[in-house]
Amino acid sequence: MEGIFELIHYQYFTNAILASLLAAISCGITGTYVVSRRIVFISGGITHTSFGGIGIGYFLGFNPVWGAAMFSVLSGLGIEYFTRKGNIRNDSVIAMVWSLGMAIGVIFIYLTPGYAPNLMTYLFGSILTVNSSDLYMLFALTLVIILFFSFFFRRIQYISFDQEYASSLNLHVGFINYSLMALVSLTIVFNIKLVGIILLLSMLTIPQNAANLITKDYKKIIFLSILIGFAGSLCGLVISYFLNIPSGATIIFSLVCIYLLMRLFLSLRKLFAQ
Amino acid sequence: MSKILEIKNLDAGYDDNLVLKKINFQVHDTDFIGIIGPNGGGKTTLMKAVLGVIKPLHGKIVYHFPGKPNDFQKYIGYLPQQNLIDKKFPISVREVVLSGLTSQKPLIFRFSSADKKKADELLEKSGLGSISQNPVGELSGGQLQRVFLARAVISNPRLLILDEPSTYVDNRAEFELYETLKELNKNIAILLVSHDIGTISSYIKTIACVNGSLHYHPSNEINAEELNVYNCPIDIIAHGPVPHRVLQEHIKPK
Repeated sequence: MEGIFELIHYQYFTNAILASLLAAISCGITGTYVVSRRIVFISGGITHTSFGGIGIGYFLGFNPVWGAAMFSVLSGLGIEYFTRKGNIRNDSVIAMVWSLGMAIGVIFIYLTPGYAPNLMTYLFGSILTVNSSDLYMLFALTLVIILFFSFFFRRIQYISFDQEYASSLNLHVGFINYSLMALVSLTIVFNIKLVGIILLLSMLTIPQNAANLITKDYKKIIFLSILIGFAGSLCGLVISYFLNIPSGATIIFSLVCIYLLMRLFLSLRKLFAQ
Repeated sequence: MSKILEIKNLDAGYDDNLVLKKINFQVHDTDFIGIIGPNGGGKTTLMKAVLGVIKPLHGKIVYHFPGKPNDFQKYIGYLPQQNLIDKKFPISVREVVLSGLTSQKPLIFRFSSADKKKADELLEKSGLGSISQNPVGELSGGQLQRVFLARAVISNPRLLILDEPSTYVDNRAEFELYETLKELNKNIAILLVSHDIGTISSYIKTIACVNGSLHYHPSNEINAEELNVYNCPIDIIAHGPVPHRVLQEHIKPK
């Protein structure tokens, strides 16, 4: 146990803890939107499409995160646009964009001469390599998300619940939905270093579904998701450090364990209450 | 009786699908109009155009509401079909009713205690006071219908539009709904979209038949030949104290 507390003295470990907190907040809030509006599959598409941007970043020699940000925001807004038009098969288009992004990523990484450093980081996450500039970006994004949700909370909730009705009231459905897609896309990109592209979707969905087990209140789901997400990230971080496993895998594994334990506890309580 | 809504030469539809052609129609403040017609005939398109959810491709809709012309959505209450709703969505009954006030608010807002009081009063009146904090997913079809009606009228609209309100609702709830609508109609004009006009005919005052074009019947009695011309499938419209049941025609003895 002592080993854990000694770790606090290392800069990279403090960074990792701060990153866990910011990830829990940003994913906790935007994930509640994703889960309640049932656009989990869309978010999966956005996540994987961002790999294309990472490949191009490697190839042209700029920070892959910016390439990922461009790809994911464009795909997020594009999918929202086609969903609004509503005259195409949504799921097929998402699947196409999803695999196209991955394909572009693979093509450009293989075209890049030499070895692609940190490729595993982008795929599976490496929370211990988070540096202070990553933290600043994640912090700025988290702040924007908090402000956006506090200003437009009701509109977000009502539009996600009943978009048809919200349109009839002119609740600025377009503005809110496009802004949220951009925020979801950026949340995904800025959390890639922690959890990795392959596993990121779970960060946006497992805490929310766990929270939804004990409350049906939108705000409480947000707060509980943040709490559960933070707990899962910390557990994952510690396991990742001691066993030297990519943090994405250990964080998701911890989150699923929390979810299952909560389910088990609730079933047992129900059983004994009878 | 004053005009609240005029539809002039309206063409409406989607990208490459013109659903409604050359619609001319007026709504007055005491109207209770049943909008009937076959599926795909354009009932929903007409409703969306009036709600401002889709833009006219040609022609226009003029609203005679107080305030700026662009604010017309503040004066329309809308009750959508239940099957469009995600029953698992985390939202309470009271929050749903309050949402009906959002069009009256600025971009960034909070609900006042007066707003909340109004929502509670409406819920109390609808017999839902005790479950106002429950998530909507726990309600029955009839209860959900009352919540949506409360949401539609909380903003004191001049016009109320209902889309197939009798689906997912049992007979008793349906009867109560129409009695409430009759009461509301003293102050609000009502447009009721339904494929099942037989059950509501004693409440509606006039009928508009929509099938690509619109034909208005200035009474609630239609004869069969008239409807056949417009291709509107109607089984039966009946009035009377006893619910009717129509059996097959007897074979006449030769």
